[in-house]
Amino acid sequence: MSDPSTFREPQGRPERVEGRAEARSDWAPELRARLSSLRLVLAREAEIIEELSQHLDDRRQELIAGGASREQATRMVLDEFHADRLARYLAPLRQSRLAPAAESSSTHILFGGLVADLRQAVRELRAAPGFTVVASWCWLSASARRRPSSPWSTPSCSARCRSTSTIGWSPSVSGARRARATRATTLTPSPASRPPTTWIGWLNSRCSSQ
Amino acid sequence: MTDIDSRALDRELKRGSAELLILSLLDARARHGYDLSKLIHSRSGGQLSFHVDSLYPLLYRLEERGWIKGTWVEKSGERRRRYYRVTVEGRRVLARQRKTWAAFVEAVRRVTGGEHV
Repeated sequence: MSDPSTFREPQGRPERVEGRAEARSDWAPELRARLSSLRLVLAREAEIIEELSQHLDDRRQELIAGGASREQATRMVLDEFHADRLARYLAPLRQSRLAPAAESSSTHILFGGLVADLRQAVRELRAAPGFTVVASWCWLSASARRRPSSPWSTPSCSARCRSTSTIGWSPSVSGARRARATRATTLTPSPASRPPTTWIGWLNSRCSSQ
Repeated sequence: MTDIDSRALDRELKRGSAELLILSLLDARARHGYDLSKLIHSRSGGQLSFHVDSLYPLLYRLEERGWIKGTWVEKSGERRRRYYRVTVEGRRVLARQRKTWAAFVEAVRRVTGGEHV
């Protein structure tokens, strides 16, 4: 383990962590630091820390029973325990490679979460086929009713699209079309008839017109 | 043999026999890690000792292979402990390793004691 002289007995209440007796152990922070290089599932790591802490506690108790003071016993236990070896010996095990690698990229975390959410949604829809059929039918019929009045699909909307693009972002207009639209000055409608610039604006205008 | 050679041989012998030692001790009954460590130390007359850093990775490796199985056992007024016992597959492996070890020891005995026979 690390230099025994740097090891400090815990002061006050120990940190609450997953696991049981681990929370009471004064070896836990050191063990956790040593195991952090491995890709252990959190629950498994907590179990290992609990088990190893208990062993170290037992060993210290044995030394104390043999006449050592608590500090001496702690130092002796730390001398016997080579934590760097522990991580090295554990590394080839399957359980040390189970947890997904820590990702620093926030993009990965975002899309990883999105994929997990989609998987969960698919699982739940599979579990309730009746609900899935009814929900799909409702969604399709609602889409079919709305389609003709969409500002992006009617013949008259192309002019509106172009004028919209000169103002700001529009979800269905490509960059090339936006570039063309910036040149199309003759079709710019009056401010009163100018359509909303975003889907939210369009939805709001739809709601208010009904 | 120098002290370094002797230590290297000790280490190799210990490594080679570690699985056999653990399986043999667990063959009789389920034990927890600390118990195993104490037994190995006392029964070997202090010649062999397994500390936390070598004992538990070995136990977890044997468990991953399906040779032993660990179970948390709670007793009133005590912290729960993880007890290990040998599985059916582990017994089969133990029987094989005992045979291999006996053959190895016998072979070494024949070689090293050959001049005196």
